[in-house]
Amino acid sequence: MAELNLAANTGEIGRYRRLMTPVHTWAGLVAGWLLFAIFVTGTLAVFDKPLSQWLNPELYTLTASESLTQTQRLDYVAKGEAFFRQYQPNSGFWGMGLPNAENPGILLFWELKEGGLHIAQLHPETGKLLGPYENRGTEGGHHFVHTHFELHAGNAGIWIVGAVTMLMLLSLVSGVIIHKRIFKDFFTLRLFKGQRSWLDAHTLLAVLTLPFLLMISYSGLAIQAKTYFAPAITQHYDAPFGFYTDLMQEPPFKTATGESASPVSLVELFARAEAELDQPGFFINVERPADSSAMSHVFGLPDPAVSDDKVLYYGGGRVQFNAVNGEMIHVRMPNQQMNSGAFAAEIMLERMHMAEFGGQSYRWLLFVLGLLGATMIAAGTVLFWIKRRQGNLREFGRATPLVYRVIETLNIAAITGLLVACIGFFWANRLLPMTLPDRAGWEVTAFFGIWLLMAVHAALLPAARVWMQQCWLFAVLCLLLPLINLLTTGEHFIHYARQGQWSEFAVEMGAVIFGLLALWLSRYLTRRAKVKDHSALAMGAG
Amino acid sequence: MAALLGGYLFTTAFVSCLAVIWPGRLADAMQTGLMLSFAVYSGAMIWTFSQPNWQRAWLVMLIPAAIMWEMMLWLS
Repeated sequence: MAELNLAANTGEIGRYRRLMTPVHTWAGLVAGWLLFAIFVTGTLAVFDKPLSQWLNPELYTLTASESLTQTQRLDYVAKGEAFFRQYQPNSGFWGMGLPNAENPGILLFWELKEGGLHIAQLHPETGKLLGPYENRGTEGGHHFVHTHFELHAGNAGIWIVGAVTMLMLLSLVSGVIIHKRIFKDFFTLRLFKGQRSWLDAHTLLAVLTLPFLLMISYSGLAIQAKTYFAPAITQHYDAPFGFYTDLMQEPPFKTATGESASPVSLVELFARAEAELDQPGFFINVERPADSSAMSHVFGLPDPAVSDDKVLYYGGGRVQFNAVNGEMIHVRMPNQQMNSGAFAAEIMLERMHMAEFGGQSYRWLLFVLGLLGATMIAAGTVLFWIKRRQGNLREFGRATPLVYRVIETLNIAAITGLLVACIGFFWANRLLPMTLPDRAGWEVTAFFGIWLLMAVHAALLPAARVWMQQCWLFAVLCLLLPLINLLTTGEHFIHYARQGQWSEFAVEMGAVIFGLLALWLSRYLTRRAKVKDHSALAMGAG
Repeated sequence: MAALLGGYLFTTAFVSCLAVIWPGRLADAMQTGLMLSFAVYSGAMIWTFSQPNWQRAWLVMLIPAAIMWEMMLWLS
């Protein structure tokens, strides 16, 4: 009887497993194209700061001291405030970050009339705006952060990334269900054996990185859950902001009154906040500075000694002021505990996703796992293709060859095309004229332009040749990056190493290493293509 | 389609309903729902794929979603 039950059970599970296979195949393929891009840019985004240093060499000739004295801090706030009052008195938002290792200037943000934030930096000594030869028009490493979570498309991008990440989570769950012999297959890797190798590589990498893949996709979705499930929130709150302030147990947000007013001295607010928090401040903002509802927040500098050690860290504290009369409205002390398990969960997920703790070793771990994850996705989409090429499954009737051709084109564009676009961004950064208006925007345009060009290339020529050519192109662009850097800025990695500029050195070395890997791969592809030609000839002769 | 869209409606109803039935403050309950949302969503999607046809898949998503939504409106 027991045996019978067991048999029925296996049958049921077997049916379910068969059902999950097409789910995994198609959800994985469709999501895979964008997921590869999301993984690659996310992996680069782990090191957005070193990338920014390479991408904006002029800015980093300014050297910011590791820790600022209180006199320096208040002096910088005064310079930023003077700039805002003179040039942007009617903006809807002012924000100011003090100089640090990442941003050696005084970082300013203000809201533009047409919407969106403008970012600029002031020279910390003169208090003057840094020009194009002192602060290159570039998004720097942040370009990859933006592409990673919103594809440079604002809210629409966040929803698209969310949808494919959801498909990834679905692929992971269905993949585990399909894969009954998960541990046995883990020890099977058949290298250089065609389809089996791709399947093994896909499975091995996925199993190896499964905890990371689950963590990164779930945390990525959960930290944006407020956006994705806004309809559920607005059932209980008037605005998503209302939920946020209620969760943080803070006074509710104010709305503009329309009466004009002028904020009190920001230097004074900053000094009072530092005294209250007993901690240096590093950021101050004013919401609606020209309105009588103006509010100001001063943020305390997170203590790296505590923050690096703990997954759960509540930040460096924050003081909220009425910016019109200077009244202190609310104080959150540095690392003050919030009595909410669900909120703690979000903080932990966010800090794990964004590598905000654990220092360099955790960053490298995420970087390596991200690369393995990207390879797993690429192997999966290639595997899909190889299976279809071997036996025509006639899934779409007479349109099948056309659909397959489109899928193949998208595969190439999504994998090698994206890689070429990524390295192309670094080239655009060096080659675009320094005084070009909206230069940062043009760099992003170049990135997407190159990506599109690669897609067109893939659509026009035979696939096998395009794989090879784009792989060569990527290798060449990577390997010549140090040369173009030398020609345009006069910098090179020996100089970087001598100066102790290890971030820039590592970026350049990284490009060379990826170039060598791509070179090896393209030589392998070329050789295999030749072998195939020969065997075809031999068969013809025979 | 039933999985992606139906699952979304199901999860939205779940999150807003949990906000009123979970003990404690409304904001905490809401946050709990949001953090669990994507586990619920993937579960719902896997469930729809086990249904024999798409009509059934829509039904198993929409009926519980409607019940949770009604319950939320009634309790809040």
